[in-house]
Amino acid sequence: MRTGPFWTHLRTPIRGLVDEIATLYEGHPISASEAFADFHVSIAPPISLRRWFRPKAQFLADGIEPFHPLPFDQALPMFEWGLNWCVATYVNHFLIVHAAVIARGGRAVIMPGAPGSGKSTLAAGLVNRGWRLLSDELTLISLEDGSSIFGLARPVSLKNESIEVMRRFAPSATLSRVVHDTAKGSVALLKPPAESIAQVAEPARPAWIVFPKYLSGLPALLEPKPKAAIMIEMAKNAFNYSTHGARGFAILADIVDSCACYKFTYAGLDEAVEIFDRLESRH
Amino acid sequence: MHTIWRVVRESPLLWRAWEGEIVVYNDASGDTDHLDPLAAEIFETLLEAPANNDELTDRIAQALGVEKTTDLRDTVASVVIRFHGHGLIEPVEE
Amino acid sequence: MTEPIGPEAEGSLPSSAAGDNPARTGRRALRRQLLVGGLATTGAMLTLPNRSALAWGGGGQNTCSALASANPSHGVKVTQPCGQPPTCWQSGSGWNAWAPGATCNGKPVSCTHTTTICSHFPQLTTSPFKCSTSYCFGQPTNQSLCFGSVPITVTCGKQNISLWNANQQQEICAAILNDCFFGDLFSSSAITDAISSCLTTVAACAVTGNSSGITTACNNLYNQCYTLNRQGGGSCQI
Repeated sequence: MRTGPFWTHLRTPIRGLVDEIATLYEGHPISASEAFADFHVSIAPPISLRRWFRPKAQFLADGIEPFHPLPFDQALPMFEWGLNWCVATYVNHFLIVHAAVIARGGRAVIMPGAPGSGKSTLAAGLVNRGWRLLSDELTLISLEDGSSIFGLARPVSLKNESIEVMRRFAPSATLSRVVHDTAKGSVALLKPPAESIAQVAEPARPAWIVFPKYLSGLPALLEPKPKAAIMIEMAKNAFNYSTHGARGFAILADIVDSCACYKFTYAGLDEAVEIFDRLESRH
Repeated sequence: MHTIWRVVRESPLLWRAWEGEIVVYNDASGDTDHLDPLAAEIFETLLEAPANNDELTDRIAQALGVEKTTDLRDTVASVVIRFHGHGLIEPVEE
Repeated sequence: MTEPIGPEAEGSLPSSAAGDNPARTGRRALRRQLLVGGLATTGAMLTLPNRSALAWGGGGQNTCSALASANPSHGVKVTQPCGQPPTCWQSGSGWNAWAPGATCNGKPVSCTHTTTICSHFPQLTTSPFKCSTSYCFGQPTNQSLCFGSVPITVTCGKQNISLWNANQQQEICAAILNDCFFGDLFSSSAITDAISSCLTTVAACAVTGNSSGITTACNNLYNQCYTLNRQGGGSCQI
């Protein structure tokens, strides 16, 4: 299966997982004959005495087990986390920032943020109101030109209260079943709009860097953020910044130069969409 | 006490300035430093010409329109130590 | 809402220093304003350290991991473990050493420094070696030959690069045992005998460079064990 620039070969005996992936990844190319895959992963019950008692799912990437096995019903989020790990670990022909990224009209908003900052929920809301999803977790910056951002258009991971928020905000969007008791609480995956998947091969140019923060009960606020601090945050959030040395510094600095940079606090998606629409129409 | 300092010449430094602050990447160490406005001014002052701590303090006080107090002298001295420790500046050999 | 201030200056050294130009004058004036305005600027410096300069868990092993893209315009980038100098010209040490002049997808192999995986995933001690690889278990190809995740030859564009050495044989034995040996629950003398036989064939073929012999011998073993594994166990009948 191809997601953006990467082919993933998945081997799994778990029928339910196959069905869930088929639903959430509908629209991504699948090929039985593709000879090369960037990532070879498998998700299966480990061979052990325990496999009949509290069954678990084990994730392997190229035969390596990077995580402890998880309860069997967490196979789907495990697949997502595992793929994120594969990209973050093995890919060095992009500069990769741990950030959500969406786009409209070829211009991208990069949204770095710690887990729990609300960036995935914000991304999910915006892509259901006319923005294109490139990724909810991984911003891939081309090393060739230092500015094109490539997307993955993979499902958006929602947690806990944000699941119900999205159900109400986008009732026609496809959501996976909710998986409870994961390390991140309750998790569900939101299928991106078909247009996002259809356009996944089109890069976007960075135009804004926005640090989101969900803060309940307060009106949304978009404020300029000093660029030197943005630069350091981007470098901190770039998995392979140190790998690329001076080139990594130059790429991120150029992007910070060319972007309008903000911090954004929000409590509701409707207000957030309005502000982002105004931001896009103003620049 | 009278060491003359200059920004390192052998190792490549890349830097960008935004809103009075500076972010500098040191290719020898791979470290990235974020300098606040005062540290940024000290860095740029040494970029312009080497100086010992006294001269540097003089130039900073004049540039920023502040008094040359003991506090300022001590602050400049501690920034110089940190810059040296991070490989951004080096003593000028006599 | 104010607009953010755009970039003011950039520089690199050794090259011309900033000098007293309008931009420099402007920055100085801004800093003066900030101080007068009461900004508590203390000469602070925050450092983001080089995250690749951390110890690698391999204890001095010279392992390289190669990443390749399906896009033929990319060459292979060989990533060294943390703390190792960037060199690809390892002779004879490590099963994924590159010979001088190696190319992939028609481009020379280039070396970069390490990844942040050392700090984020310190349990990782080896990385897969990939360049147009595929797996032999159940999927033999005519492009490259592998066992499990361990490639024995890698095809990069039109060039075959052999990685065959004693360390790889160890890896292959481990891969076979991992995938075919059922552990205490399903052990049988037939399986252990079959594995021993396969390993002997692997060793013999390694000496002669007969990769296809290895593929055949161990694919057979694997397929039979895999089938029985999926059925829930039992003795392997070879």
